[in-house]
Parts: sequence; structure tokens; C-alpha cells
Amino acid sequence: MGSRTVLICDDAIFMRTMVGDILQAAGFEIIGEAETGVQAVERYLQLRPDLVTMDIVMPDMGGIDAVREITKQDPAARILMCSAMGQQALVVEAIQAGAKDFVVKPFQPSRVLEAVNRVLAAA
Amino acid sequence: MDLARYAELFRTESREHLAEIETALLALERDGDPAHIAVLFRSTHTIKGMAASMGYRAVEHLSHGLETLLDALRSGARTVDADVIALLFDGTDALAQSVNDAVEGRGHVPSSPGHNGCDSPQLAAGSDRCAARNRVTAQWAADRCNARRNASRSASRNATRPHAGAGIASTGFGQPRTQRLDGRGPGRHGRTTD
Repeated sequence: MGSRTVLICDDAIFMRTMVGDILQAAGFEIIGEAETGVQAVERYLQLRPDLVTMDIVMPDMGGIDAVREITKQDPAARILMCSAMGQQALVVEAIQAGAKDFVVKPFQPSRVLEAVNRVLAAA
Repeated sequence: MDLARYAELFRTESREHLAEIETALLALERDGDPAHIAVLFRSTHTIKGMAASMGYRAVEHLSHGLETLLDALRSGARTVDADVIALLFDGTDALAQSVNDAVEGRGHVPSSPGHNGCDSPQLAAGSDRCAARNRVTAQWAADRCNARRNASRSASRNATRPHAGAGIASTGFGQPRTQRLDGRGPGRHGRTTD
């Protein structure tokens, strides 16, 4: 089986790079990146990745609205929310919108990989 | 995880966001449009997240204090007035200095009581004590600047904005947005983001 594909959505290059490095080191293939919610939706529909990592605060369209749009088009989409501390209410909203799990920044590689594997295993 | 390899990316991207904050603050001061607050919040939030990932506590705490104030403005718990604008400019100046200090190894100055405690609900409620603390933080950062830089920044800010104080523009913020860590264009992992 080929490596699992991932779309990374975050407005910060720093965060996309860090998440990408963690996942690539674990054997995942990063097939795309998005820095706005609108881009996230477009890229998802175009690339159909096995997993999406989604930031909450992004320009144009936030991560929660992007989750809504993606799951409207593909209810089976596997989306992992990346939240900051203190965003519990937003995480709950994201889960209700269709996200499968969440991981809290700052990222620890082991926590990120645990969450990613939980999401993929639940599919 | 070897964080050192992310330090320069942190500084570059933080500077871009600080430049956006400066632009949005000037616009907010000029027209009072609440739409600028969303830009301020997002950039401040991004700096906070990156700082937390790097373990730069001083940057994280200061940006969290600003974020809390911006959240109060966004929710209407506090209104935009000249004092708030001045506070945001001071806090942004302190944040800019804190970012540089962090990357250059002077940034682990702490979450000490005198540093910045304005991540509390009091700030959101408009507490004068917390506002004063933020000004202390700004002063703390300003004291760390050398005399030549202070003179240069003051002149720059006075030329463009009546509130005076240290200006971000003269510190080199506002450079073109860096695309990727490795300079290979927008898609470090093989795909572009646009």
C-alpha cells in the first residue's frame, strides 16, 4: 500500500512546514497545502487526500467553515483540527461540523501522529 | 524535534505579521473600521502559535495579552479609542522587540510578574492596571533598544503618526512575504499553495 496522503491547511508557513516535517518523517506523503479556508476546500476537492490537517483561524474562510464545506461535499472526509490552547469551544464546533479529531498546539510529534493515526484508524 | 532549524522561519514570518499588524493598526486609527480588528487578531494569534511551538514564552505571553485585548474589542466588551490604539501600538512595538530577542537568544525573559500579566480577563474588561502593565512591558522592551535605534525609530514614527513612539517600519518589517523555508517557491512539499 502506498503512503497515506495529507493536505495541510494553515495560514502560517511555519506551521505548515512543521506539521509537514513531522508527517513526512513518519512516512506520510504531503500532496498539498492551503493557507486559507477557501483554498482548503478547493484543494480537498481537487486532491482528495486521505487526511486533512486544518487550522482554525485562517483568512477568507476559517477552518470550521472549511470543514463544513468539505464534509458537505464528502461526508467521509477525514479532518484533524489543529487548535491553540483556549479554543475548546471552537474545537467542539469543529467536531460538530464534521472534523474527526483534534490536536493542540504547540505540536509534539508524538501527539500529532497519535491523533493522525486515530483519525485514519477510525475510517 | 530540532527547533533551531525553524527559528529563522519564525522570525521572518513574525516580521511579516508584525508589518500587517502595523498596517491594520494605522488603518484602524484612521477609520475605526472593526474589520481591521479581525486582521489584527489573526496575525497576533499566528505569532502566538508559532512562539508557543518554538518555546518562546515571552513572545507567547505578550501576543496572548494583545490577543485578549483584541478579543475584547471584537466582542464589543471594550471600545476602540485613542488609549486603546496607543496601547496596541505600544504592545506591538514590544512584541517586535520580543521576537528579535527570542530568536537571538535574549528572549527567554520570562513570564515574571513584571513582564506581562495581561492575559487575564481584567484586560478584556478594560482594567487600567493591566493596561499599565502592558505599558511596562512596552517600556521593558524599549529599554532594550540601543540609543541610535530609538532615535531613528522615534523620528520615523513621529513623521507618520502623531502618537509617536517606536515604529515597526524602521525595524525592517514589511519585507516581501517569504514563500518557503528552502526558497524553492511556495510549495515546499511539492505542491503550490496558490
